[in-house]
Amino acid sequence: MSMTDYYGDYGVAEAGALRRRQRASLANQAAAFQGQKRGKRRLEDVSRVYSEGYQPLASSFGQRGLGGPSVKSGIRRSGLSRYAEKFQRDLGTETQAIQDDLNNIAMQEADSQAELEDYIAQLRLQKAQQIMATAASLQQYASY
Amino acid sequence: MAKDKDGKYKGTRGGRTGGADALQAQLDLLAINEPDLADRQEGPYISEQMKLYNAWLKKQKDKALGSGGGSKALTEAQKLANELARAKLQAEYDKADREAQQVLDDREASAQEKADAVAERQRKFAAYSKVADIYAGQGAQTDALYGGQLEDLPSRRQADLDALLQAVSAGQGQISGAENQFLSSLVTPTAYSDVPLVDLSTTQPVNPLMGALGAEGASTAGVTGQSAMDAALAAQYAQLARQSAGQLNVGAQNYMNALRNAGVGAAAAGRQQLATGQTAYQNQINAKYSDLANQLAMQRLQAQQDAEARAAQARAEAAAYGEAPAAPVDVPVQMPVTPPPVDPNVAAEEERKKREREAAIAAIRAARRSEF
Repeated sequence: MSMTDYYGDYGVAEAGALRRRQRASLANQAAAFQGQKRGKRRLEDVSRVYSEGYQPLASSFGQRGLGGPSVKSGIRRSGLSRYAEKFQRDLGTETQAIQDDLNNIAMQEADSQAELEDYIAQLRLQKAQQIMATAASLQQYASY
Repeated sequence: MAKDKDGKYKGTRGGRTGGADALQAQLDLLAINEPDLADRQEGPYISEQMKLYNAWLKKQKDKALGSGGGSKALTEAQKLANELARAKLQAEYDKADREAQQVLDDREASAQEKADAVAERQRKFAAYSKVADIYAGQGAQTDALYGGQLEDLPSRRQADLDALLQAVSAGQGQISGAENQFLSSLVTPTAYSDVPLVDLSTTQPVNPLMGALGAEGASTAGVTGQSAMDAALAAQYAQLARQSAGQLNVGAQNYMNALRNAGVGAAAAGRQQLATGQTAYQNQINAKYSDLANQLAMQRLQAQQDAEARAAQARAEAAAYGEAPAAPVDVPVQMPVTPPPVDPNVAAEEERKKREREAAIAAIRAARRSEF
């Protein structure tokens, strides 16, 4: 084990780790931003798909004589209820996906920060240990 | 040849030519001093040549006595015998003189070798003496070398201990500083405390289509029920998220507390390690300098002992060659007995006797020729 493995690089390892951490943080921020955008878009897509599908669904009930201004059939009501539940489920799924993406990015960011803190602390500990070991070894008296 | 107080010739017993020849010479002297020696019974120590000579001498004596020419011929024969004995003595003396001269020559030939040996001994003695002096001087150098180091050890030990104390104090300060900085840097986590969660359960927008459907007779009960269930689910999810954020926030707080405790614990452990290390290193420093002192003392002792041992060895080597003698050792040589000084009167007498001896020898040879 050489001294440069830990601290003999005079801070290069720590500086390198900080730079890597900064790049990772920027990447996480970008990923979070993109995730928000994607989630919002997916929610909008779900709403759009269900909005666009509502009229054909309602029309299909009318064409079969199951719906109209004075017709309130149970089949139509049941169909619309299932449509609404499915719509709600899809909305919930996408919302959960957005939450998971954002939380994953947040945890990844926290992990990266914790890893950086640990690494720097390890570097400093090893530096201190190496200094202590060298000071305690009294190498100039090893010949005795 | 010297004479004694009675006017008789005297000689030396025990000459280098052997006991038998010395006895023969003494016999010759007796023959000279006592002319009737030839009539005496010959001894067992007389050589065969001498026996023949004595027998011939007795024959000549008997012949002279028988022919009436008597004492004069005997006297001549005795003189010849005496001269012959004297010639033998001279020959023995010359032989001894040659041997003595040979000894002198040999000694002179070895004199140069002895001089060279003496010079070599002197050189070696000087060299080993110098080496001994050098090693003896190393003792002081060793003391200076190790003594200085040993004297420095206490101050060095104290300096190390002071430095250790300073290091420990500095370490304690660094630990406390790091602890305070860490604790102050900790912030309460807020990441999960204010998460912007969304709850859409209470925000149901009014939809015109839903009003139209109701106006057309659609039942609202189903819609209301569905709406209520959606709101309940949204509220539940939002609540779940908030609950999760709250739990995560608690977790973050706990984790931050754990980090804080870890920092405080690390500081406590560091202080404990410093205290333990201070004690351990203090003991190690003391032990190290004690070991160093012992090692230096042992090394100094070893170095001194080595130097002393080498100096002693060099001294022993030098002593083996020793100081060269002032003069070459003169090996005593037993010289032959110096002939007595020549008296002019005696020399004239000797010359006369010599001429008489030569005449006698000639007469003897002539008689031998006539006899054989």
